[in-house]
Amino acid sequence: MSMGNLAIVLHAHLPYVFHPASEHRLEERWLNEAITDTYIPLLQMMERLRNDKVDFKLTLSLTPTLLTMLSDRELQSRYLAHLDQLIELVQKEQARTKETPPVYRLASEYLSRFEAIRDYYLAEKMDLIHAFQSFETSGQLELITSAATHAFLPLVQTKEAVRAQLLTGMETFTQYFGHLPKGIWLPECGYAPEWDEVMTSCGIGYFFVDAHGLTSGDPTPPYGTLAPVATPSGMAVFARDPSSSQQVWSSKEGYPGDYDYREYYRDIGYDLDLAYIKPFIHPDGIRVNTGIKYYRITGEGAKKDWYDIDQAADKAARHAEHFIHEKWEQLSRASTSMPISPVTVAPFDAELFGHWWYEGPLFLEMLFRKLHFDQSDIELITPSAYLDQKFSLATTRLPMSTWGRQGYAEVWLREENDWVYPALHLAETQMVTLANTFTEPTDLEKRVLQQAARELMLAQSSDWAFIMDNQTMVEYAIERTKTHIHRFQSLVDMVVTHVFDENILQSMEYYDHPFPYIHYEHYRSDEKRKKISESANKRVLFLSWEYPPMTVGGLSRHAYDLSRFLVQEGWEVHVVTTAIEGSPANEVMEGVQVHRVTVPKPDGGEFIHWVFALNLAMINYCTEQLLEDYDFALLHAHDWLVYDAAKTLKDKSRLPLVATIHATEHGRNGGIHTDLQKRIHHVEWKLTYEARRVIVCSTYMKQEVEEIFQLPADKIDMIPNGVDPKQLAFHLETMGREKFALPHEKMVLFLGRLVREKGAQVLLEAIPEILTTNPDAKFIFTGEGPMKAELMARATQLGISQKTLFTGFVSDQDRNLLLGSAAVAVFPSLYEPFGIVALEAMAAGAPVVVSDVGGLFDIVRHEENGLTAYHGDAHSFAVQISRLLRDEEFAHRMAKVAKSEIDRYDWSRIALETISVYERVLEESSNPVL
Amino acid sequence: MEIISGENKNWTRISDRNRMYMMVVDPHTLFAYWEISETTKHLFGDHFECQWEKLPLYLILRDVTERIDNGMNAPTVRQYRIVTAHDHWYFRSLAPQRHYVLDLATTTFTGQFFLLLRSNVVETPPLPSGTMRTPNFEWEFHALTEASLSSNDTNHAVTGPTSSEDYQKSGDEPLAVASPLQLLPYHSEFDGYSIIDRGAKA
Repeated sequence: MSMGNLAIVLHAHLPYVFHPASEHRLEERWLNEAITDTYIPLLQMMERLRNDKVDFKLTLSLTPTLLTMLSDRELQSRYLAHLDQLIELVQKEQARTKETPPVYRLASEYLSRFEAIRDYYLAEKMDLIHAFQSFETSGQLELITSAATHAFLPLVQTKEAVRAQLLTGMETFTQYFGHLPKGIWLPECGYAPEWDEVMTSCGIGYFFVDAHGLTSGDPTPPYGTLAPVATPSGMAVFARDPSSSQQVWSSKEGYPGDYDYREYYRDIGYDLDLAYIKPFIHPDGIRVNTGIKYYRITGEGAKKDWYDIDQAADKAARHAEHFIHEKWEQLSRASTSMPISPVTVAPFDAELFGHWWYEGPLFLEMLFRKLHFDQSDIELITPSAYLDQKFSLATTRLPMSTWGRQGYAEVWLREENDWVYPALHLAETQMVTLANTFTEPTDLEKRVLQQAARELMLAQSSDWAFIMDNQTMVEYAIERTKTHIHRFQSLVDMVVTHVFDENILQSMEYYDHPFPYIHYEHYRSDEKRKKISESANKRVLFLSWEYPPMTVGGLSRHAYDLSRFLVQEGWEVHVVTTAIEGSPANEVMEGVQVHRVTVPKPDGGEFIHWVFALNLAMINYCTEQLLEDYDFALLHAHDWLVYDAAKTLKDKSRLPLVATIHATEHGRNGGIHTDLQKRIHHVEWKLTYEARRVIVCSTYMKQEVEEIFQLPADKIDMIPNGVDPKQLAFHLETMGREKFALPHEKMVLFLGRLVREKGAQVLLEAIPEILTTNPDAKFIFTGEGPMKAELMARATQLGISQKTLFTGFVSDQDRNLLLGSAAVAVFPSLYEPFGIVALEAMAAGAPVVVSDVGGLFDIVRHEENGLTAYHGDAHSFAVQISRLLRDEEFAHRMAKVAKSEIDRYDWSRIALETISVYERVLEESSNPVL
Repeated sequence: MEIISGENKNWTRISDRNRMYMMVVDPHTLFAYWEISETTKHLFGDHFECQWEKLPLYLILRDVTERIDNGMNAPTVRQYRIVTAHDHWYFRSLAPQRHYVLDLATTTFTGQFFLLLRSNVVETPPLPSGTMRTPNFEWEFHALTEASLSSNDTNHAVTGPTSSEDYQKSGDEPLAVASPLQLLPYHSEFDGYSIIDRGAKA
């Protein structure tokens, strides 16, 4: 039984630097150097260990871009050519250094080393991936994956793009190794808690974070970095052991800085005469690292000693011994206090070993040999083998962390590179929209979408932002980012405009072709964001600032009745309205789909600004969701309050707009007198101007909008409002009359807001005259309004307060009771676009007296179904009301006629007339007159 | 890099969308960028009767840790007047382990804030040591409080039934019911039909 475990994890990654059209890209040398210095030396090391029966365990992440490049035939042959050239150079070096034995010996070493690499490469048929896999098969190597193009996930904006990166990484791995990886290397160890669930949903078993990313978790992990924890959604997380990193990474205290090790920065590519070295560097004469270096680190000064291979090897062995000792101390301390077996996780960049730290692979080999032969306390382990022991893991919420400088995002988000994120995030959002939209693409569309996904992913490589921070090769990183974004945008343009350029597409597929089997569908949202494919023919979008249960003015009721009766006639109605406490944001009410938008604060502190904020919220909701989810046939706006939304949505969606004008500011105020009224009047005009057709509710309103907005008569449709008799259950309401009047009193009812335009003051002035002949009359004023106090004072002044009752707002039940038992219902309005309450009174069987204005005049025919009086004329009202109070039979007869005609205002009929308007608009839009 | 024929090499970040996104740099630093669509600029210009470029703009960073933010009730930790040309900002020396949201707002003629864009909420990570540093800045309350906003509205609360002298009560049941207007903001300014014109009154 061991005392504890050690997991060595190497992360092998290179960005996609394949430039198929050019053989001499400097960046491609990164791949060639990594193969020569790191990947093949690691494979050779593992082979020696296997031959010597040394049991070892190593975890290696091979990033999807690296796998793509390692498996590319063209890159493989280019690498072989590179290696041949290197061998040629080192042969030349042997000749050149013959007289300098220590250097000659090194040159000869390099020659045998490169020849061995070449032999290995050819023996493996240039397929290094298969070589790695053979060690996985034999159980020494645990292979894992990474995000598709090494995107720095904490700075990705959408979970869809995170998922696409992760799933493409998993799939690429599976494509090469035939099974899913058990764990993943998060690029730059960048973890962000908001992606926890999406990571789990991608099937990730474990990943790694830097030490502080684990130790500052909440709750604090009980065993620090020496045991994995579970994230809230259940993935296992291993922490990087800080002391191991320090020993290997630190340029001062770390092993690689030892004076006996090879000096990386003295390469013959820079040191030798240009004339001599020119054939072996870049064809343009740009000096590059050849990988042939003859000096050891020596000390801080410029003077360097010759490198001594034996001394360096000896040092590597001693460092391995030191490392084991350190780990032994750490694990032995931990094992006494931990109930489970501790594990130290030592993760490193793979390219550190061999490329930067020349002796790194040798160090690892010595480490593995010593652990195998010299001790049994420390057991090498892979993360999945550790997890197989089924220790219970503490669940911890981990904060955002990375293994970058300072431990967070400052390397990838600073003045030098912050400009990439607005572009990347926009592309992500566009890609998600495309994936949601194109559910059944044509072959060509599919190719475009796949290439768009590749370009976006390539632009997302964390390497570009890293290079911009690092200040070397910056131009290349900038160019790569911009080019991929440009290519992405031109692909988006292709699918959106349906103008495809196959030559351009082919070029992109040739230049940027990682992940041949990429699934653009990974960008599709979880939620149903698929556009409803049913025909938009009979789908209308209502904009109304109020909708039940929010009922402030008459608009709410109108929108409610019209919408539900449209639904009954086979239309699909979506109403966008204001959010109200206690009502859901989305619900279906009697078949009507109601969407309530919240008006965010701060909203300017005044109603006029609040309305603007409401419009902005409606615009946001509709453009980001509703219009994305559904195709509509048209927009229907109600009154000026939703003008901004109506106009903006009309412009964005190019849908025809129908507007209903329920009343005008001019009419309400008897003219336009103030700046505010002028402003509203202007908005009303704009609404009628923008609308394809304008609906009004009475002939009076038709004349009014014609006159004050100079609207052509043939643009206006007159459709009266309606009543739904089912909503008025009068016959049930007889109880409670005594609340309002004595049994012998005849009730004269005023129903309406106590505002000037409704004319309560006219009725009040008529009361004394009515009482002279009808002393039993009782006048009930329901409703609230700014004139209430004034009216009550006037009643006292007139000496009639005994005969008047101001009830304020009444319940629906009381309202129905009053309508059902009133001797006369009076509507003395000075301005009345329609007069729906008069209709309701008539439906309830109440005899009515109305003003000769507005819609009331359309409804009431004098002495046939009610009486009319001169508007604003108290005497005229007194005369007409008195007639009804005096002659109940006459009153009853007219009420009967009125009730029998109420079908004329049936909502079904009104819905059908509205549909005719819609159909006319749709027909005109489909046959535009050019 | 290889040039594909017709490839556009100009770089512009304009998407003509409304967006504001905030990101964590480190426990003390946040970065935000934003963009306002041309449509929105026009709408604001129309509504506030002002050229877009002359509209006063403010960045308001608020600490929304452990609260359900309604846009008004969280303390403001930073407030900067900016110009319309600004499109990104770094906020430094912030407190770790707090939740922040950023608003871009303009002001009305009477100096009240009006929201233009709101960012996502982000959380600054704790310090690596695991030790918490107490916020070392003073809370600044620049935003309007709920109280000052609603003060106008209290005058208009429905005061109960109004009855005349011979109002015959049957039991204690009040005759009047609460106005549905009360559920709405600004019900004292708009009754569903007309706006009470403050300007005209003054």
